[in-house]
Amino acid sequence: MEIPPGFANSQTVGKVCRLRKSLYGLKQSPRARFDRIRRAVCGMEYTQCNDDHTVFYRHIGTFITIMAVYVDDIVITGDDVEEIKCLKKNLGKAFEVKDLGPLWYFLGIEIARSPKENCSISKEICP
Amino acid sequence: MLGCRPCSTPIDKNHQISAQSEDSVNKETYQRLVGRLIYLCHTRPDISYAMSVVSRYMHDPRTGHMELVYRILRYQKGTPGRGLWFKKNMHLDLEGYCDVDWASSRDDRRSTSGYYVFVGGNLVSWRSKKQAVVARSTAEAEYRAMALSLCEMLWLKGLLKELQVSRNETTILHCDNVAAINIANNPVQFDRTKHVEIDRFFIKEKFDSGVLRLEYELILGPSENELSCNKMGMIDIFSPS
Repeated sequence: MEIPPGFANSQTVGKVCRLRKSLYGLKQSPRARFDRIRRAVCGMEYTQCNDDHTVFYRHIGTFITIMAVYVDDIVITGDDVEEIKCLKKNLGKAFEVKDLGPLWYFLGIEIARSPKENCSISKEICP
Repeated sequence: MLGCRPCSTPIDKNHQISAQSEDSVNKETYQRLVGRLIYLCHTRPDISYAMSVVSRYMHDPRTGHMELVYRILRYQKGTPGRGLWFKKNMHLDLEGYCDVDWASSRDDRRSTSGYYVFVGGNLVSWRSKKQAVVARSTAEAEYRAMALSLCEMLWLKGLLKELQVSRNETTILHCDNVAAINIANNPVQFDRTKHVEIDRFFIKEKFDSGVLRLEYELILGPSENELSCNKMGMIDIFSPS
């Protein structure tokens, strides 16, 4: 980082800045942002997946709930309906989130479902 | 491009593209177009090989390369509604298919490896990548492709195991080269396989620990594009079923 214009004088030569809070647009901000999500989610008794760090999961009995995070998009899946509801509620408390219902569009990938609950994905190309 | 004729394959089976392919074209246009198509690869495994070819000339695009990109677009036009189909198969078995296009690059004679990994009968991971070193025989190139696909399969296996959704079953890797399978099966150190030693030990280790099983399977060539798309579980969502 360079010293902002107007602050460069003999006293500031060789000085560095100490980061107290990460801001939008900084090199460190994506990391700080993910760390915040990770802490919050791990606080909800979720485990961060070792093979893919953006996946979190929780086992309750034989049931499983999986959550995948991509920057500010979150996909939740699993066979534990109650836990999914609970997770959504807890996420709502920790962050400002919007529930968009069943997955139909994620990162430019369109998801279509057949009536028999099979799932097909396809993709739109931007012209 | 709106009035173009649709095309049935994304790339010519025996294409002879090289770096020196006629006049230069606008670099920015080329990179922009290819960049968009790369993103499309996330849901269209059928164009992954063609995309890996056109991506090699991003730094110096020529007319010949641009024509290849237009061909991919024409192919897209013929199949706009194609998508991956995820079926309920009631199992989560890992299966991999690997193949190689030996010495396909005209510029440095390196081979292109490719793999498809299925989880529970559904295609989840695929890749087409030019190898980093020159392979002197098809078996050698095939062997490197096997190691590459094995890495991906091990990662998926680890992921499924950690989520505790799959039992510890043997994964199957299908390969269309008998020589490469024999090298994997044979514990003897041959002079001719000395230079692929690391890949050889890597595959052998997994093979011996029972994680991996190798099977011979004839993999479809590029001419059977329609058939291979069906095998990959790609369907046209607009077609009446």
